[in-house]
Amino acid sequence: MTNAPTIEAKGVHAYYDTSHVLHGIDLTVNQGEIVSLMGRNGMGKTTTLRALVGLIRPRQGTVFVRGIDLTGAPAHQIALAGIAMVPEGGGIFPKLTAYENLVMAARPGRDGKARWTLEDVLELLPRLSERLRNMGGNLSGGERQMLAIGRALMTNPDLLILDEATEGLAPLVRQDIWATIRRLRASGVAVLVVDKDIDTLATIADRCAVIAKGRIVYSGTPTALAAERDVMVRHLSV
Amino acid sequence: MDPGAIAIQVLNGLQYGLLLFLIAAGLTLIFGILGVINLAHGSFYMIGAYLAYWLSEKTGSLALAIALALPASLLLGWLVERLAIAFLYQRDHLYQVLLTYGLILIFNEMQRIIWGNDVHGVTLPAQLAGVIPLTDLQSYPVYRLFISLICMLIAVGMYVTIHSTRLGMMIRAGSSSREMVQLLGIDVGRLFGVVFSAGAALTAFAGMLSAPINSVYPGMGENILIVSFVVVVIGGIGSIKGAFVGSIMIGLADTFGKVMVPEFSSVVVYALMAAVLLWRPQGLFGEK
Amino acid sequence: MADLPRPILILLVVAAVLLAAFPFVGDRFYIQLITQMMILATFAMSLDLLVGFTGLVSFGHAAFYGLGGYTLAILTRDTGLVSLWATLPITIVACGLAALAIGWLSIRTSGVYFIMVTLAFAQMIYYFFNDARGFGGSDGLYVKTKPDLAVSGVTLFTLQNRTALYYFALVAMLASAVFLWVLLRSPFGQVIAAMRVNEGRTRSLGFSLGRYKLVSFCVAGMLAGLAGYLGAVQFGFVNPAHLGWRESGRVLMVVILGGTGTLFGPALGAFVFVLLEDLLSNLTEHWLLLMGAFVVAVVLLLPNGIAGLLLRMAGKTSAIGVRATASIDKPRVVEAAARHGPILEIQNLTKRFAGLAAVNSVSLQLEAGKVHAVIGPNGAGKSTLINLLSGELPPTEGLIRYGGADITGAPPDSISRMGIGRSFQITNLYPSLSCFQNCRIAAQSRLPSSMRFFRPASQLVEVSDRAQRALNRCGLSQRSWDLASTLSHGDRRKLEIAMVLATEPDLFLLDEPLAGMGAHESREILDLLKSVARQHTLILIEHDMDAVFAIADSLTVMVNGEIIATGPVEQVRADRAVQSAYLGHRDAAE
Repeated sequence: MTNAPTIEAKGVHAYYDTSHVLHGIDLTVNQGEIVSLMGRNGMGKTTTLRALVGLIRPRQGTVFVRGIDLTGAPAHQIALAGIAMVPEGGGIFPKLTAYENLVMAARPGRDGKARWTLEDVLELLPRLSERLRNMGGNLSGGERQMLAIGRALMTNPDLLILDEATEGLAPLVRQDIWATIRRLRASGVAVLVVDKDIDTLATIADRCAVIAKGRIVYSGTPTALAAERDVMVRHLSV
Repeated sequence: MDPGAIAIQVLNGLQYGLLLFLIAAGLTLIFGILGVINLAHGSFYMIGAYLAYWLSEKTGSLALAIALALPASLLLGWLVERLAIAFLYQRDHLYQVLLTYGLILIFNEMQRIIWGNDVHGVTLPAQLAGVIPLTDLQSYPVYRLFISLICMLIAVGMYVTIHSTRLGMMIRAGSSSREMVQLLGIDVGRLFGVVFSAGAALTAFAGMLSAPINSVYPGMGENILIVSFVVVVIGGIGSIKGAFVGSIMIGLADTFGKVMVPEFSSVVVYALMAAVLLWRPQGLFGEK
Repeated sequence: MADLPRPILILLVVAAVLLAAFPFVGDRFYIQLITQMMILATFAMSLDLLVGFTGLVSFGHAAFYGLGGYTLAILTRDTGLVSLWATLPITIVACGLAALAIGWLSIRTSGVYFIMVTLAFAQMIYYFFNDARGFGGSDGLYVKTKPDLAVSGVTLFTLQNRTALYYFALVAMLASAVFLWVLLRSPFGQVIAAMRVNEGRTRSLGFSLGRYKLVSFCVAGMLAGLAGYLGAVQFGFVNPAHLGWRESGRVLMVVILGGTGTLFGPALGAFVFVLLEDLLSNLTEHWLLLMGAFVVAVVLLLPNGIAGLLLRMAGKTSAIGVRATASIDKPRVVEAAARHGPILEIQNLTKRFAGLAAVNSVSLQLEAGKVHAVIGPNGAGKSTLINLLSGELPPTEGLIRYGGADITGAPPDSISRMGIGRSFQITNLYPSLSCFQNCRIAAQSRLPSSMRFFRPASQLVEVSDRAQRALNRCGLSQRSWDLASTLSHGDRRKLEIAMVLATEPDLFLLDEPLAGMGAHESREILDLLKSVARQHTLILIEHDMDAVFAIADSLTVMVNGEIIATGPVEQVRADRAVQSAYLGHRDAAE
């Protein structure tokens, strides 16, 4: 089981009430790799993520975490299995300080080792050191995203899921976040990243998947995707 | 009124307010975090008082009685949460009100079955039964000071817990986003159980403390429940700070009301609530 | 309020006839018991108006019941009035005034606060009557003489007589039911129903809800007072317990047991409840324990009450509404073509939240009769812009002109009346109302006032016509009588658009109409929008680029609260800056 994919979704169908929004999603993230999930808005990216982390119950299909079937398991159980998600906007707690946001759910990884301690996180995200005493609600957008990533790392996950982590941020801040994600790869944490910055994603991701109207329409390496003009044009760009 | 008499009333008001705080804090937390309006909250007050009375008769010591009653209350709170309250999360307030109203009927009747309709007194332990002189002419019961002190300590303890411990962080976080708390691997169901039992135990403890001075009688839970509601409305739902300020305000208003307008003293509390509502409908520290 | 299915109507009529006939065959004990039931039924129906129809959960309704009793007792003790003509109106008015005072204070709160506040005020009244001198304290007061009815000096009957009281209570119950039924079918009633199902949407349609809630509260208080009056007559005394929280809880229980929002349900519930109490109290001294368990069981197992059960058995799944008259599809006058100049002008519009500019100095001119799309990444300020245009948010700086008139800072209801309609990104319908009712409340919002109580809403033909036209336009005519909650995602979005159409706007603001739609549904909505676009001006926020390019005439791109490009679609599409900021891939295939 040691080489099992960190997370593997097979044939996942999901519904909002009567609306069929995910049509048989297959998505895998192997240990230590960076996978990007791309597609226009409203195509099902966030829904797919929510189905992976247990906020939505798949009506059909399976979700395996490191070879263990956790389909339909409650969200906190999936989180404890080593999956950490940073939702769109970061989701940091506005009434807690940055420090409290970081330490609130901190725990060692599944193997009992605390690869990410507070010192490590602050080294990765130095801007946070100056902001530890500030209330979450008073941080800027970029700082909030950094805080959310740091908070997720403090749970020592096997997989970090990032939903639009650079959304609405200034270009320089975006660079910071991409640099952080690159450094994460070196540490062995797998990353599933959803973003609209297709170019940067192409330079970072090991593999990418494209989703359109609830279906995965392409899965492969970024270089291969670049050659698929049809996919690029129809599902990603103008 | 002479200064001595005023001082006594102020002390009384503070003591009543601090006792109220234990109850209101639980109520406001349960509503703020769990999103449940719990009418049976006052029943824990009654259960605490009756347990204190019964166990102190059996063991001969109030202190021992309380020591036994506290864990019993925690357990009872946990059971009530798992068996009844858990069905109320995310449901319409109407059903929450009704189900917890049904619980009141059940608890009240069980109390009658077990302990009957009589009013009971609880004797104070000798060390706390005396008085402390305030002025040449007036003195003040030690026990009341003791109550105020304990409640103050609890209030401080609550503040420290909420602001410095992990549990406190989770509680504060849980009131903004349940979903995010779950995504971080925290079992929200268990968190709720803890918050509810703690609230129930605090209320029961208030009942235990007040038993020697207020005696123990059927229906004592509901009177205090409604006053706690007033405190929560004034202070703002979900705010411990509001519960504290509201409790002290009501404690003092009620005490001075009884002295100054005895015929309408009960109305004073509600008039105060009406005044706050006119000014800030969401309560002093509540969010809009 | 929907008409009832036939079987239930028959059941109720038979029940009423049986009740009328009962005194001829029944014995004294049961006459008295049934009188109790009918009084409780009146009390319960009054609370159902509040809880089931207006959505206000009051835990202090017994205050008005008790007040009714105390008013009668005080009148007979202190004034010697015994006539029904005098005592009943005075009682009802007194309760109405009390409800006005308490309601005015309580309505400022909502949700949980409202529950606690009504409980607290009722308790205050309890203590008032319990503690103050002259009201008999905790023992209460006797009703010295029971009222009688005299016409020109001839006493027709006196309520001292058990049978007379029975019939009077029956008449009171039936009259209250009919009164409430008429009230709920009126325009006022439509607004109440809408408010309970979706308060936010009703407010954004422009109704000022506080007034409607207060009227409801007063009517409920007066009917409760009537019940209390009769209760005091029946038992011959009144005491503070009648005002207490236990009594409030009891009647709330009856309403839920019967089924909220049905009127006939709580009446039935009253009968069942009194029987149950009678049965249980004969069973054991500790019958309250059983009652408590019963309450818990009902909440967990039968949340829709007896009425819910009956309705399901009668096979009711759709809301049977009043059928609108067949309407001719009147061709809409295309005013847009006759307009000169831009239909909408925005100058330096800015909206700041705590120092952060969500919309930053936006200037735009939009032509009438065209489709303008606004695109941009999340957080670009698009939704904020729509909220500024529809009046939901007041701007911090800047100017909005519509058809030449300055509408900056106008509230949503006046903007709606001026002809600007908007749809919501997250579908914001009335799920438990039929499609037709959804559109009708939207159409009704354009009336100058809905405070009309006695004409059934169906008579507002113009309103009904508009609603039906809008439904037909959106291809939903087959589903007019289905509940909105049974609609598919795509049909719900169509209903959302139909609701906006029903307000007959000139300018349509659409916030992500295709969000969450599958391919097939998207196509349908797009076709609908294209047809709507022929006669209206549309401003559209969307992310689905296929759709945008299929329908838009001009395009505006927003990033970080500012416009980075605006103009005809093809021109903006080819703009390099736009491609790199938002559209992404530089080598766009042309």
